[in-house]
Amino acid sequence: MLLILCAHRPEATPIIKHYDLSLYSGRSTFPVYLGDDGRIALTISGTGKVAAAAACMNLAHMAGSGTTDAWLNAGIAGHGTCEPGVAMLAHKIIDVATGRTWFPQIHFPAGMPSADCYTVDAPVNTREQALYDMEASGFLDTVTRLATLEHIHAVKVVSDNSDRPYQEVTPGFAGELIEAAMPAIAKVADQLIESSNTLAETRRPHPAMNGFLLRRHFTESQRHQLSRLLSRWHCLYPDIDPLHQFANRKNARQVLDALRKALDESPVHIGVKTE
Amino acid sequence: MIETLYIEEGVRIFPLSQRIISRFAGARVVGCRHYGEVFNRKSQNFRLQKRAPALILAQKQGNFLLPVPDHYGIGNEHNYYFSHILNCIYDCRYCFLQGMYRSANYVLFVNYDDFLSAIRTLIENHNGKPVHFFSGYDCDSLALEPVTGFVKHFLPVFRDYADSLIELRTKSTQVRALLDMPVVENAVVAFSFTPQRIARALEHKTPSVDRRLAAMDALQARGWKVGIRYDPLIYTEDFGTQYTELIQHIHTRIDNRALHSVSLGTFRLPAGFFRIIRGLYPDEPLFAAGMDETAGMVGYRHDLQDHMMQHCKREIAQHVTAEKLFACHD
Ligand code: SF4
Repeated sequence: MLLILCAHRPEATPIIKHYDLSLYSGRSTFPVYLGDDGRIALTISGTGKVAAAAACMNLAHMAGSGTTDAWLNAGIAGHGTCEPGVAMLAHKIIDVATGRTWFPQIHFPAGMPSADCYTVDAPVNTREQALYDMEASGFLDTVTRLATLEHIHAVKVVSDNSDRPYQEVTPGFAGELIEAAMPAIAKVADQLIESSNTLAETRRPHPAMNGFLLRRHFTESQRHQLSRLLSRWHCLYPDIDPLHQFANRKNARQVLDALRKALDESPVHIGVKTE
Repeated sequence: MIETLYIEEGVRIFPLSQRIISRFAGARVVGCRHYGEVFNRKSQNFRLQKRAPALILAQKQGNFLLPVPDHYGIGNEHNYYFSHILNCIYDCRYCFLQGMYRSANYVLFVNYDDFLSAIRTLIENHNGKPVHFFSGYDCDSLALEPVTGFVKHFLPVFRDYADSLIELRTKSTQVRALLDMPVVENAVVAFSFTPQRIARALEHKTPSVDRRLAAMDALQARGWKVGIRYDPLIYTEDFGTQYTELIQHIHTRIDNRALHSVSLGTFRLPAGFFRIIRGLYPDEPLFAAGMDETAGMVGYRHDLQDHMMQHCKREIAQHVTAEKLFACHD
């Protein structure tokens, strides 16, 4: 799943349109939009890193996000020299107020240039060769607690520069910029979805997991053990249904013990599949 | 090949950094204060990063040389290892680096001269006793050679210390730099091997057994000392046949009399690393079957380890004299 954060509605609208998202909850402070297939959720935070952090937590909660999900902060930003309209990936995010830094790990072909991104508490017009925004550090600070750095990215479309002050950026212009950059944004978004799906696939519960949970009571910690043991089982015996062999044990502990014993006694050579 | 270069601000001016920046002119260059800001960060996934690892240029601060754990040497009393690189371009599923580091990015410590000073001081402090140095514990010694120029910089120093020895451990075929320089008598290039079918299943992105063998051949022909490392030995149903064939194949091709050493050890990992790697690769059968955990190490049952070691020692003994054969274990 991909969770997207935009600061303002004009930035969000082209993305909502592109992915055909519908309003899931408009009542909370941070509206949430969802795609039909559950692949994408989007929220709008308002200005600033504190709002961005709060909106991310709210989105994570409402979308039931997990550790394999990906996150994208998409919006406009200032830049020292780049022309408006250039889409850039942030490869380093610096919170100017605290000096804290984050390094999103780019493990896919980005298809766009990248730059440092300074998150400032108030808009600025004097700039280096870098992006300047007001949300990315709040976004990173929050979602690095939820997901992995390869799956957390910020794409910023340049809206203003040394020659064109931020005061001239209107909501309509911001929307046009995002709309025009949508193919580039979607390229990053789609790769994040693919990567998140691949990671989720490696952690997908064994098909028999539910069968066990329906038959015996497992505590939370026993569920985790069961999940790990079943994934080992699947590696070694993909064609044998463990439910038949182990579900008839008296209780969850006995199921786990029997499964573990069977795995630990499995001959090690079947662990090397040499074609 | 490298799409992202992280550079500690302090090493940007090093000539090696400048060469690497030019070499990867298309890469995005990202500055950092200390490599740990990128490399040691929580919330990283080694498996995902392995898709496109970045290169981090950094300066090593202290701890240049570390003692080698007991039973890992090749017959000498004083053994140390050093790592000018952390991580590896290959992707062996059994590699302990996957459990040791949070990041799959490569770290290259560009302050080679500090390593060399530490090596010189350590040798001199041993007052004439032979010291063995091992490179290639936290990386493959040669795989990134065209980028690092490690061989040309490090090896000549050992000419001043004939009693010492340096081992480069590798699965790579990057031996051009060695072939282009005069032989360093007290250097050993040690190639690791598993049977080709096992290599194909577990040693992703590595050169084939025959290509490694060709590289080893070329070095021997040029007068370099070479060693063979059957480590880790991996058990399969036809273990005996596979290893007998591999050992035959290798030792009938190379000059066994000129061979420096052969060492062997079964698959084993520190228990903590084993659990991390199993979590990263829940779909990898190698970690799914029953392994034994003894004294903090996970490996095959002891009787199986003994069987594997005995079998391979017997086979190797047909080609190599006993004093060149070393068993590595924990
Ligand atoms: S070649 Fe060595 S260092 Fe590289 S991945 Fe394989 S085992 Fe690890």
